[in-house]
Amino acid sequence: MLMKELESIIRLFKDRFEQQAGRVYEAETLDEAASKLSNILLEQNVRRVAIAGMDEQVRERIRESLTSVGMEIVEPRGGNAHETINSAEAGVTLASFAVADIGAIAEITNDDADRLVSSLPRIHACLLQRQNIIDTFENSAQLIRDALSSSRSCVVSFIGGPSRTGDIELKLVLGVHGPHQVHVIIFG
Amino acid sequence: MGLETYEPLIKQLKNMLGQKERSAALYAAMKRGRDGRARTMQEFADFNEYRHGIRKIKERNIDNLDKLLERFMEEARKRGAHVYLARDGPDAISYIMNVVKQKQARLIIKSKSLTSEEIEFNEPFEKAGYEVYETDLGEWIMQVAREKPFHLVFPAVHKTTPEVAELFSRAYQKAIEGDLSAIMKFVRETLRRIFLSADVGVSGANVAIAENGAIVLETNEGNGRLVTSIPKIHIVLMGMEKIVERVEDAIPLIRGHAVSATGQRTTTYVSIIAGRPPLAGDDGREMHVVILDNGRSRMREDSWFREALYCIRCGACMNICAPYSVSGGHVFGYIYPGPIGIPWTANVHGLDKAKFAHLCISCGLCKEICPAEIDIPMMIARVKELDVEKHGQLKVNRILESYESYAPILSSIAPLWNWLMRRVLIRALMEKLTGIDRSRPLPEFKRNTFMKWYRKNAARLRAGGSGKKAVLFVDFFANYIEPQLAITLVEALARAGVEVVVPEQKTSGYPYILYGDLKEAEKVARYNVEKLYPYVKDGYDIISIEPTATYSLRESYPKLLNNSEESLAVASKTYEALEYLWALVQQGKIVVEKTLSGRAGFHIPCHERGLSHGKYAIALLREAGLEVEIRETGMCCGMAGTFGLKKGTLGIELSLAIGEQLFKQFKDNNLDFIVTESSVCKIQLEQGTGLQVFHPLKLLGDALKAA
Ligand code: SF4
Ligand code: SF4
Repeated sequence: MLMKELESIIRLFKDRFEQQAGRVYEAETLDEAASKLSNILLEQNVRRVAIAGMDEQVRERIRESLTSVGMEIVEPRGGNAHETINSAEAGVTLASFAVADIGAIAEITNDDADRLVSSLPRIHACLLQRQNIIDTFENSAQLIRDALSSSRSCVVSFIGGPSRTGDIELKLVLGVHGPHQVHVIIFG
Repeated sequence: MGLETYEPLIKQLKNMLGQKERSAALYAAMKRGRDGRARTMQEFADFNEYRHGIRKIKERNIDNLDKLLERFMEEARKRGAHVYLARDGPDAISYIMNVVKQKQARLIIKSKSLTSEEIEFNEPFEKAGYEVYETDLGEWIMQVAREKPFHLVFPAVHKTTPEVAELFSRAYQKAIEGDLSAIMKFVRETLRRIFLSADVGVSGANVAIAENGAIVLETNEGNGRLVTSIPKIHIVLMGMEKIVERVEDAIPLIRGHAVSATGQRTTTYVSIIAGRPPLAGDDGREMHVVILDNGRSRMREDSWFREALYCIRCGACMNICAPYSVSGGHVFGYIYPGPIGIPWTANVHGLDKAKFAHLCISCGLCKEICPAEIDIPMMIARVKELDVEKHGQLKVNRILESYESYAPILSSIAPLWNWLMRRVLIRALMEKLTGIDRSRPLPEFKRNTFMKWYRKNAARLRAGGSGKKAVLFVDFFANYIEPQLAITLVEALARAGVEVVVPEQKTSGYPYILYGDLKEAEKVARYNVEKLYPYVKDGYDIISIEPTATYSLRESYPKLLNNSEESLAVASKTYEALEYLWALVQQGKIVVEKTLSGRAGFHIPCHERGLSHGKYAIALLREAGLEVEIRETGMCCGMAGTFGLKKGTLGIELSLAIGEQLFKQFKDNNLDFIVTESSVCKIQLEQGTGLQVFHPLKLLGDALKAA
């Protein structure tokens, strides 16, 4: 893909995700993204963080960055995993990809603990590799199919901003059962 | 005859018409949905094309449903899911009851599922001692209030913030302030504990994908993700019509659903769930998929109702339904509310629960907004017909559905009849005898009908000259009430060198559809198509003045005649009068002189929305010097053919209540007069606004000159 094209796709993603009350940041490198992440969470007074399963190297970088500013990383294990994740103030994930025209990130997960990391805490922060942003929802069909066929159980979750409701008098309220804030840091 | 079966409906409606705050809240919700949809549609190259794509997807998948069902079940089982095909509600409930009993569950949480409402899921489980929680906020409010949803997408839209606070305070014996943030805090905290301790999560499915045995869940609040991830058991309860073949089929349905419902690009969360993943390594977890038939197979075999299975439950149809806007989902609905609620209710809950079908005024707009292009009005006409067959027709409906057939007699005694109709006592008597409200000014009949004039001028009009030839479809109004409109039109055509003929024909017969007499409607359709088709074959175009008549020729007749070749040929050659004139102007065959001045408000009749939205009329009027602005609510003016002529709640009262919002738009904007192409909207608007209302042809009369 041409650089210019990719740039306009990224811009579209950013515009639409932000219109939907999400927040988008850009970083050059993984290191920069990790430190941006810790700044964002610090600003929100986050002390306990759950990190979803992801590429070990990325996970290690995130963990270092968060612990270096004094945050505690919780480790969900066994029958109590959901309670543990629930005790975190923020959940951090790595997006599998994102779709520009619907302004959504996509997470492919094989364990529901990873889904809970982006569902239970009040803040969801998500790293997203620049090259993994695609243009249209229609064009994600093959990615979805590949993900679903690669294992016996699998969930593909599209997330288009913080959770919301308009159920009382149509007044928009963010953060009902899911996160109040969703921060996406694009890097690479 | 059969009047008593209407009584509960009329009583409920009367009660609702008195509750202005409720209908104001509902109106706001509907408008919000429509405006959002209109905004996001702009992001598509052509959303109507997109709708058409959705329809094709649903058509193909419902055609192949048998195979897809097998495939889906096989694929889901390969992933370890238990799949159960349930015949009906009790069957589904007893299967699920067994599962939760075996697992010794106690607490069941649900994310919004209309299918679970369809089978009234909660009650038997609550009775059996389980705690059942709706976790979608709107649904939870309804559960605590023990009410049925008022709106498909916003179930609790009729409740104010203080009412909700009060409701929760009472139910949970807790002091909750009457403001939104206090309520939200209570909701999040209370339900969070419920989420974390639930044993069973019940979800619906917006779509199911056969090729990989996956289900798609669309939610905004995030409850759907928690319901499907935390509990040991995930139970999916879905209608069998939800299955599509491939991921590519699912994507447009997901988008079309959100765009049509609220104007979101997709819902905030779209989860595609295949099998049951472990939770932090614990894989002793189960997924059960219960696929519900409950009348769907039967609907699939019924040529009238098959289309109902294309519904993706976006709720857009109820956002544009005028009678729904003033009656709400408790009156205009049983469990499934709104327009599509009528065929669904009739089929899954029984005809007797679908009496609210008679609130439909056949404006046709639900079809225009539906992302799957479902012909809801025609299905509703069928439900009315079934109901009429069973309980008989109201006398007033019987008179009004065929009023056009009295026209020849009435026109022959026009002076006497018109004089009679101006007598208060006579109108009172007529009201008593027929049910036509005395306060409605009735249009006066002309003794000199258009057809009389035409017979004298036929030879001249045959001359042609340009090689173009056309058949005029006159319909009722331009023949009996305002012949001058038709004369203006054919004279303009003649000046442009168009050969005009007016063969034998009947009036459109659309009122039969409104009152649910599809057999008569079909007869008229067959007659007119038989008369018109030979001309079409011979190269004639068909020109029609009345939007409802044009709509009948283009949309209703093919449907009534099973898309016969002749009916489709006639439909494809049918033009609106003003569309045809505008084309002649474009071709330089007619020039428009600047004879008009002033500022007019333009009303788009409902059936015109299925045609060109009045754009040709507006173009011609502007060309003639008139300032024209569209004023609209987006919905029906309330007259709905002859519906608004009827006395009583299920007639003029409902009709005027619907019109209120629109009347305001015309009255508050300093307009000189109103223009509309429909003869019946004219009656409503004149009465409701006090302004004069003109047909565009009447105004254009002298402006259309030979080139
Ligand atoms: S045709 Fe009009 S009145 Fe009837 S259900 Fe549809 S929108 Fe409502
Ligand atoms: S009938 Fe059409 S508009 Fe109505 S809910 Fe179903 S899909 Fe939506």
